[in-house]
Amino acid sequence: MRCSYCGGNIFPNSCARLGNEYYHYGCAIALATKIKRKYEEFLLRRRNVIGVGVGFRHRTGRLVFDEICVCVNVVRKEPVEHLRSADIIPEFLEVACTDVNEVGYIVPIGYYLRRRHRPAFGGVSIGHYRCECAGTLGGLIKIGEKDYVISNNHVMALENKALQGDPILQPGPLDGGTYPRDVIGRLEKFVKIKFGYGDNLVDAALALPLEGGVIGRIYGLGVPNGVIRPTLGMNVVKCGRSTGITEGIITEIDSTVIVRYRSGDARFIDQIKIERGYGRFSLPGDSGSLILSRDRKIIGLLFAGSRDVDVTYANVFENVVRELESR
Amino acid sequence: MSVEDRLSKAMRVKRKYESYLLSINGVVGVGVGGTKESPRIVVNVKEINEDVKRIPRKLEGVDVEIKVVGEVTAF
Repeated sequence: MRCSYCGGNIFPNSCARLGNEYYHYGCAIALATKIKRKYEEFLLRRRNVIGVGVGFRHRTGRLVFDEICVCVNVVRKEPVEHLRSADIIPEFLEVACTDVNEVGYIVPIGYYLRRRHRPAFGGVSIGHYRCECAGTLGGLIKIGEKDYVISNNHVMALENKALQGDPILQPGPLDGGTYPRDVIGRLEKFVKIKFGYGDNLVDAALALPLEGGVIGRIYGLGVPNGVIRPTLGMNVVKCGRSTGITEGIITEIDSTVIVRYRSGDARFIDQIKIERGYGRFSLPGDSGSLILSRDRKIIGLLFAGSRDVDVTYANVFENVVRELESR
Repeated sequence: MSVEDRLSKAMRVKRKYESYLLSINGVVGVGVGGTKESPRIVVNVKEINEDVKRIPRKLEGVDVEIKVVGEVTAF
């Protein structure tokens, strides 16, 4: 067989289809890219279209990796008869096939997670009604008979200053959450932080969510299944209000660290340190995120880090559960 | 020494010298880092100063690594 673009030899097991012809993989992508650039403006002016690219073809809901097409991403698919003829996406652009996919509205993830969500889920903005801050709703944790929202003491309990029953807002006040409109639950309990002398294990708090207000899924990561102990070199992932979904590596265990809070310095023992290696694993506002392993088991609770360097600290989740259960 | 022995030795030595290391001006944290095969004691510092420079490179045969992390704050 010959490549319809460059004329060179191609083999059935290492070629790509574009429209009705076969090409070298690279030739198919180069040709599709050329066609896509030529028609980009024309496509983006059509109703519902929010993005255009070169990619794999979807057929009956599955990706076909040896078929290249011009991908047209739309907010929603509409029946052809509802569209003006000028808004219909042609099936072919020269020799390339188009593939129309419904993707909804695309928003920066950071902002998406800072919005109000009902039901709310892990990874979104949360905060005590009287703090001018925002942290992250970690997820739902079963303690005793009930499911509780988990986050940090400094996010939901004002560094020990809050009272049981205080309203918790989603989004947090920094992201525009107001009382009483955005109440998602009530503070249930927290582990007191010892400032100055004394060792801390966790910065954790629980809130009782309103009926049906929160679901156990974490944005982009699904529902966690179990808890495991952290080990050195383990790959981890989290979803937080400020930096969204990021992956990192546990670079330190049994870590002792002095953390600066608004109320003063506090010493934490048996912590884990996480680094991403490039960019940032976390930033302020990600506090309260659950740290998960690759197979979605809970490892830790994110609570601190450095503003200057890619360094994040998290409580060991076994300690979090033990300390909260004993309160 | 097996991998587990090396890791538990690093943890034991780290605990022994922890309060000494944390009392040094500029030190904000101490942990066990490196890799499972060759664990080390990691001393996290706000910035490099004269006191930090005097921290030994090895403690009871375990490597000591100095890392500048700035100030660690609640996120």
